[in-house]
Amino acid sequence: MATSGKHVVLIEDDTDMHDVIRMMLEPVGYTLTCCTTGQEGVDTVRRERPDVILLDIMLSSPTEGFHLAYEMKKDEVLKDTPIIIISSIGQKMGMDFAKELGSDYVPVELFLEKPLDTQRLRESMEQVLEQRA
Amino acid sequence: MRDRFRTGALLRLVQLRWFIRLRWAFALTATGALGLEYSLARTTDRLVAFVVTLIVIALVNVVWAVFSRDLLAKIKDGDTTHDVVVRHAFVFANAQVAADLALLTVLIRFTGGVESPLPIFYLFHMVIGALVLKRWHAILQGTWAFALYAAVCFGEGWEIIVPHYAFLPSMAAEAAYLQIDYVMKVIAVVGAGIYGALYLTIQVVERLDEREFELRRTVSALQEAQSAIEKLQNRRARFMRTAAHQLKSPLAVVQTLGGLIRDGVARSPDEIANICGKIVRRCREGIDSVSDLLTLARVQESANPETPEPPTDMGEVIEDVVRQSSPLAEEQRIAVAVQVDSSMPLLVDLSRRDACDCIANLLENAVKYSKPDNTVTIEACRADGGVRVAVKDSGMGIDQATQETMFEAYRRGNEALGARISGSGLGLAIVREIMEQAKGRIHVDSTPGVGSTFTLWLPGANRQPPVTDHIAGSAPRESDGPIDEAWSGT
Repeated sequence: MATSGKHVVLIEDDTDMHDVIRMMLEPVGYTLTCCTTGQEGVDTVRRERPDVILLDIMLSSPTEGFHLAYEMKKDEVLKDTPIIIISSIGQKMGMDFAKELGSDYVPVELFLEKPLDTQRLRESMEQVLEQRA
Repeated sequence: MRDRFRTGALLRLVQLRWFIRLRWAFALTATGALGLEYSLARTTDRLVAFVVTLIVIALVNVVWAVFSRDLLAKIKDGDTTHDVVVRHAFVFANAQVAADLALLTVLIRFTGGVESPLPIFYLFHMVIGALVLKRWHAILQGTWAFALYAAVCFGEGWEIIVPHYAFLPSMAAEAAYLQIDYVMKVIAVVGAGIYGALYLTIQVVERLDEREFELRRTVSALQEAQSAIEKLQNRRARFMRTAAHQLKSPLAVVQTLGGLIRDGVARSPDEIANICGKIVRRCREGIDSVSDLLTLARVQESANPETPEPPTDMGEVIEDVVRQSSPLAEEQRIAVAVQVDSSMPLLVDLSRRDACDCIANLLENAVKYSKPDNTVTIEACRADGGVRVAVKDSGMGIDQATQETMFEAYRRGNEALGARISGSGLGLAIVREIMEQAKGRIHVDSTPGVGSTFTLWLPGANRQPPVTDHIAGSAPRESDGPIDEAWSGT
């Protein structure tokens, strides 16, 4: 699937990860906007309407990323934008957090656990873009 | 308190229809006894009056059953307030006991009056009354029973109430009911029985109530303790999960960065050098994070040290911490101004290590979050029987929402994230933990865009420090330092 020109918003407080993901995705044609806080991320997503959102979990609080995911999936405009969680928190731990929020699922398309692998990230991006298409 | 337990017992008895059932059992037993007497003696004079009395008891019991159903419906439906239901239940119980005493007296009248053994059932009523009624209600019921019995005995003795029905036909000739001295003695004995039974039962019930109250209080305390332990366990589990993530995070980044070189994503020497630099920095941050976690664990474990630490001079601590932090401050181009009341040592009951951790965390934050070419000020003075330390910066400030959560572990403000300032997220949690254990206070006064002032107050040391020439002969001074005003306004 052609990835050239596809736009990604990355919401991640770790600025090193901004550089890392930029190096992983830009060579294969993605454009990237990086945000360090949840609020900045949601504002950017609303403004830029990306093709994919990459979302970290631990931002200002240990579960802010989950809250953002629920918030965006409830939004009529944003709900169809695929979200890939990239976090050191594994999927199982993510489900535990979701249960604490009173939910039995995490409303995202994919869960990628750090450390990230270039090939795996690119394949995951293509996968969610194909599903969206 | 006693009445509250009485209320519970009474409502349970109403719900069980206990009085009603007991009365049916009594009516059946009395009917059986009457049948037995009739089969043996073949007397008929008492039979009619006695049967009529039993029929009245049965009819009254039907009325009580109807009232009971109505009261039960109110309890179940909750269509009235609890207080109203309780009041109705007490009226209902008192009415039943009073009516039962009257009917029992009628039965006594038809079974020999003063010669009848049935007054024993007065005691039965007194015990029930003392168990389920309020104390004064029970005493009034006892007086009612005594008055009824005395009325029957004196009425028959003075031949106001006629005819007399002997308990047994063979006793009719004795006419004991006409011997006033005998009547007086029996009345006195029955009266003593009634009031004695009331007194003893009330005493026992009050002891049981006290025990029940203690038991309830203990159960309540245990439930609270259990709830607190569960909350603590949940909090600890959540903390461990978050801590594990925080420790894993720099390692994950290091591995990801290494993968970029391994997979050939980063090819140029500049890119590779840049990534190596990041790897080294992330390793250092990971080590710092572990150090902070160990500090927090150490502080939590030393909550009640077996050997008390000697008092710590906060003035000395501040000097040491400022000296150690000078490389970071110089790197950030931040000047650190120290204003310490040096008229005498600022002694606090806190280990030197904990004091250093507190001040170092606050100073590091103040330096990190200040813009270059600004000044961070540390002030310390005696105040309110302790020592007050204020760390003031003119940095980015902290919004109100962040102020409410920032002392929790792994909480970081949006301003800090937005400014891309690194940190373990444990510094303020360590400060809070130390302050709680030292029975001190911490306060933050911050305005976004203007700056923050973190103010600590620590209780003064009760024990004397090792005597040195520096403090010998110096008199304690009640000092109002420059930050007193800051506290008085909070």
